[in-house]
Amino acid sequence: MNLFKNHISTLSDIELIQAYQNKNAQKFIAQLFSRYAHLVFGVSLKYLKSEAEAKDLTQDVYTVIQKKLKTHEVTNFSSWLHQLTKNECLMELRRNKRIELVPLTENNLEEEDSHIDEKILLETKIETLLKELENLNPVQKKCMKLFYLKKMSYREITNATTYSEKEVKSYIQNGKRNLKNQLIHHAEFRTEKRATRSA
Amino acid sequence: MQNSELKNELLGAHKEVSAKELKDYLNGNLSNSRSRAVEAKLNSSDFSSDAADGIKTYGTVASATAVSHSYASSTLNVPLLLIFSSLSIAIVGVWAFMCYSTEDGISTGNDLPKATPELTALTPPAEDKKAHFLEEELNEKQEKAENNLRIINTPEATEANKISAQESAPVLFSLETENEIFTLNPLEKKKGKLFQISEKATLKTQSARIRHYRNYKLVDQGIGIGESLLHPVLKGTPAFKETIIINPKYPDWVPADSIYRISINEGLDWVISKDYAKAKMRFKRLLENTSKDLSSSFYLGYTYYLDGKYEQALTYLQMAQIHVIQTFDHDARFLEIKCYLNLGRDEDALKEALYLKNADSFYAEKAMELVE
Repeated sequence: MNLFKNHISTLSDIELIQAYQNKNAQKFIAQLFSRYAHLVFGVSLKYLKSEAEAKDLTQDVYTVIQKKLKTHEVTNFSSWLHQLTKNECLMELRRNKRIELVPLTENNLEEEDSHIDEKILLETKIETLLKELENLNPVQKKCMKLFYLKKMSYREITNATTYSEKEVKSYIQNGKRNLKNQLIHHAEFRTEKRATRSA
Repeated sequence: MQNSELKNELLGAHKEVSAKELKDYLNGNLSNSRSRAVEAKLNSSDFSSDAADGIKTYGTVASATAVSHSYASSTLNVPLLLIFSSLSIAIVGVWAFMCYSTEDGISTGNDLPKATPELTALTPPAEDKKAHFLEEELNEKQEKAENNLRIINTPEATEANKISAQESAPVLFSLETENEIFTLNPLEKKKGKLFQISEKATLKTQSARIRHYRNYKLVDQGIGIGESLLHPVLKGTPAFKETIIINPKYPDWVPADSIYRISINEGLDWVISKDYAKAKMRFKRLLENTSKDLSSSFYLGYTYYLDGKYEQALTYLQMAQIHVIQTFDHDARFLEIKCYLNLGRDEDALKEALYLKNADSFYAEKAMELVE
C-alpha cells in the first residue's frame, strides 16, 4: 500500500535530516522532532522547573533545529539534540539571571566526543568486563549484578535489598560510570604496553 | 543473557525511550520486565534519563504526553488521519459496548432501552426454548425440595395444591438459600406458611435466590431482599409480582429475560450489597423510561427507606400506589408507616395503618403493632 510504503515515519534520523536538507520540507523535521519532543520537554523541565517555561523552550528548540539542521552535519541526532537543549536551557537561565555562566560558543554545541571511548569499550572482552565488575565497590557491584545479570527492575532490586529506588538508580549509574572508567584505563594500559613492546 | 547483550546494555546502545514507554513507566503501568527494559534505556542514555528526572520531579506525565502529541499530530497526513479517526471511532464503539456489558459496572448514559410496550406492558412471555432442560432442572430441584419436606407434603399444602389446580395452573416457587432449597406454593401464603419459611431463609442469608415456575417450567428468577419480614422479601422479586397478578385477565407477565427485568434485578443486587447509590441510579434510570413503572418506584422508595432518606422514600412509595394495577399498594403503605414514624409523623402513620387494617391486609397486624 503506497500510503505506508516509504512513509516518513519509517525513515531513520539521519535519513530525515538528509531529506530535510535536500527538499527543505517541514514534514521531515516535524517527524524527526516528534520522536524527541517529550525528552526535550523533560530536560527543559529539569533545568527550568516550570512546565510553562519548558513548553516554550521546547518550541524554541524546535525553531533552532530547523535553522541549524539546514547546514549542520549531525551524525548522532539524539546526543546533539540533548546538548542543544541543555545549552538552550542554560541560556534561558542566564537571560533571566538565574545563573551566572561563561559565554557560550558554537563549540558547546558539538556532540559529545565519546566515539573513541566507545570504540575501546566495544573491543573489550566480556571476561574483562566481568572481571572489572568485581572491582567495583560492594554496593554498586551488587546493584549492577542484579540489574544487568539478573535483569531485575529497580523496584525488584529495592524489594530484594534495603536500598531505596533512588539509591538503586544512583548505585547503578555510578557503578556504570566507574566500570567504564576502569575499562578505558585497562584498554589504555594495554595500548601503552603494546607500544612499549613494539618500541 | 548473551555477552553481546550485556555489553550493549552496559556500554550504551543509544536508544532513547519513547513517549509512550516513558508515560507508562512513570505511571507505574509496566510489568517488572518491561520496567527493567525502560530502565536499561534510561541508564544507557543521559538524554532520556535527564528527561525522566525532569518530568518526575517538576512536571506531570500528562503534560509531557500532551507536548509529545502536539508535535506528533503535526506529522500526520490527511489520509492517515482519516484512517486513525475511523479506527478511534470503532475502538470507542467497542469500548462502549464492553462497558455496557460489564456485569458489575454502572453506566450513567443511555444504557437502558427506551420504554417500549414490550418491556413494560403485560405481554405474553416468549416461548421458552429451554423448557426441556429446565424441566430436568426442575425435577432435580423438586427431588431436593421434597427431601426437605418443609410444607409440600403437609396436609395443608396438599389441600392448597388441589385448590390451586382447580383455580388456575399450579404455580411454584423454589427458594434457594445457602444451605437449603424450599419449594413453595403461593396459595400457602394464605395459610401463613410462606412467612415462616422465608423468614427462616432470610434470617440465615439475608437474601435468597428465587425461582418461579409455572406449569413446572421456569418462567422467572430473581433475588429476594432480606429483611426481618417475609413479605418484602418476596416483594423484592419480579416472581412475586407475577404470582399475585396471575388471573385469567393477565395470564402472563413481562418476559423473564427482558432487559427491563434484568435491570430491575441488577438494582436489587445493589440493594442487597447495600450499594444504595448505584441502586438508586438504576431505578431512577428505569423511571425515566416510564414514569408509571410501579416496580421501579417501589424499589426506589424501598432503597431510600433502607438508606434512611424517609422524605424521598415517601415520594416514590406513593408513586408506587397510583398505578392501575395495585400490586405494591399494601407493601408501599406499610413502608410508608415506617417512614412516617421515623419522621415523627405519627398521625400519618396511624392513617395508613388503619387503611391496611380495613383492607384486611397481610400487613394489618404488623402495621397496627407499629403505631400502637
